[in-house]
Amino acid sequence: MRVVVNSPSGGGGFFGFWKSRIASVIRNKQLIKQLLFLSLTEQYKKTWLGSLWLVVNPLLSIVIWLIMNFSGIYQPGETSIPYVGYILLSMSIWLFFVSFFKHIATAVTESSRMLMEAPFEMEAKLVEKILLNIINFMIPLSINIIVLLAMGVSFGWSSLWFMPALVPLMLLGIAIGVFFSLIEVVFNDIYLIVNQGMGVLMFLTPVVYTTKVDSEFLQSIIQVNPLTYLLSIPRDLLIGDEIANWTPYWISAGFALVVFVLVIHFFFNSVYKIVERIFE
Amino acid sequence: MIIEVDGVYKKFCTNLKLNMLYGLQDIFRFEDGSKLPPLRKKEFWALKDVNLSIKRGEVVGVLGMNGAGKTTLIRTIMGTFPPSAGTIKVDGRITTVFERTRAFQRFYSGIENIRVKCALFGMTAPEIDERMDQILDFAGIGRFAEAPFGSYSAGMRARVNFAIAIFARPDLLIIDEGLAVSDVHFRKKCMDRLAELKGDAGIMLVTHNMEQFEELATRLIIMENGTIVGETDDIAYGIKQVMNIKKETLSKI
Repeated sequence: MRVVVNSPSGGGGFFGFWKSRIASVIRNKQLIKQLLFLSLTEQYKKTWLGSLWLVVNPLLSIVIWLIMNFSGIYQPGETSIPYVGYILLSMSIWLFFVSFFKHIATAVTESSRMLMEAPFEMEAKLVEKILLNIINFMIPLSINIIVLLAMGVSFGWSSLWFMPALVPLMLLGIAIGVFFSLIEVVFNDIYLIVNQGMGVLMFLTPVVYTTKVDSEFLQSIIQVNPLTYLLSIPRDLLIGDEIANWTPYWISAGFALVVFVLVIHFFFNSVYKIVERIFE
Repeated sequence: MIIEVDGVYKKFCTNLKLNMLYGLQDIFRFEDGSKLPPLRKKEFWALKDVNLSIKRGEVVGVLGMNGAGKTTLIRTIMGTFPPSAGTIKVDGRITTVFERTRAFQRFYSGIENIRVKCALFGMTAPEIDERMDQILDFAGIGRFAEAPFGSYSAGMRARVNFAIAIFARPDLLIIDEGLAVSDVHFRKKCMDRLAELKGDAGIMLVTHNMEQFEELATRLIIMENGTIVGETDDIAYGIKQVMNIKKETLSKI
């Protein structure tokens, strides 16, 4: 039987730390499965369409972007594939990133119900949120790929690198979400500001426009914004665009990895200090 | 030994804004836990130097007035509240029964909720499948098993809650007024089941119902202001002591 020691001190070293996290995920796999089932079905439980909403929602956004494109609201710059396809793909990747922040940032608070009832390990909640987000991404992505194929876009061998190339963006999204899951408990104001700021950040990242956008102001920002590379390189790989320079991507990916490792360590060393504050 | 509580302190803050501020300070502060942290403005000790151990076969009754620290002690043992200082060693599975439970989802059926709660107690899928019938049978919810949990009465919810905690085969079962809303028949059924369970597990019982202590407890601890002020194997004597404390408190009002 596993012996658990609750005390204010941490310990175990770098490898011991990660070994404990992985062991906790394995130990809680049934709970993760149950939480994932609840999260996927709960929001649509009282609707007539039920889980079909997982498909209907992305279809509705396709319609919205088609309308916006034909009405000429967006002037995105030159794109190598039809603009609606470009925007659908970019938006799915952006939402993939932002949803990590939005879902994970409330993970600690959402755990209060379970913490009140049982010795609940936070790893289970984080992994559930990550899996939920991946599932929520794969459904609209699959629909978008079908739309792109219908538009005549062809996919080559480079498309196979799309998912691996997304990993750094995912790590950065998780890291930001995990960090703010602590902040959200004790300083909700900052969380609310950052939540709003994510909308602004989208316009400072080449999501609805391309990296060849005319604005000098935007150019100066997107060049130093790591999200530019973490988002545009996977997108370019998927649609087969030529990638002139990989260096900024690898630097950004390294940055994302370092931030992820630091934040996860920070989270598990700190969460026990604030967890009781969610019960007020 | 199933649990060993060694020199545990727990502090809380009575002011919401200060509590948030302290939380923010604490997450950026790295401490090794070797020193007792000082009390800051509006903080108080909810637990003070608590030492306790429970072994298999023991039913430990926790007595004390409201605000004595009973529920804080339970939640600290469960791991909900991390101790401010001291160590709690838990060897085995803990399950809990509280008077009010928040872990159930009202739009999901009894069976779906049982699956979630069992997983929360650390049960694997085969374990849940194996014990599902026993849980449903003990809870006696019959045809309501597939009905949304929101349609259950308070008594039915309490029965499901209790059945899960028992059939999850805990090493330590914690009951904090968990039988308060049950009817007399179900309470009798629970007491019989607890008497059977105590051979394999430890039980920690918090209640204001002295009959339950008399029937089950093998040891009593008395808490006052976050501290264990008394401990005895003589259950009748322990109950008398608590009644005296109650009388003293009432005479001051």
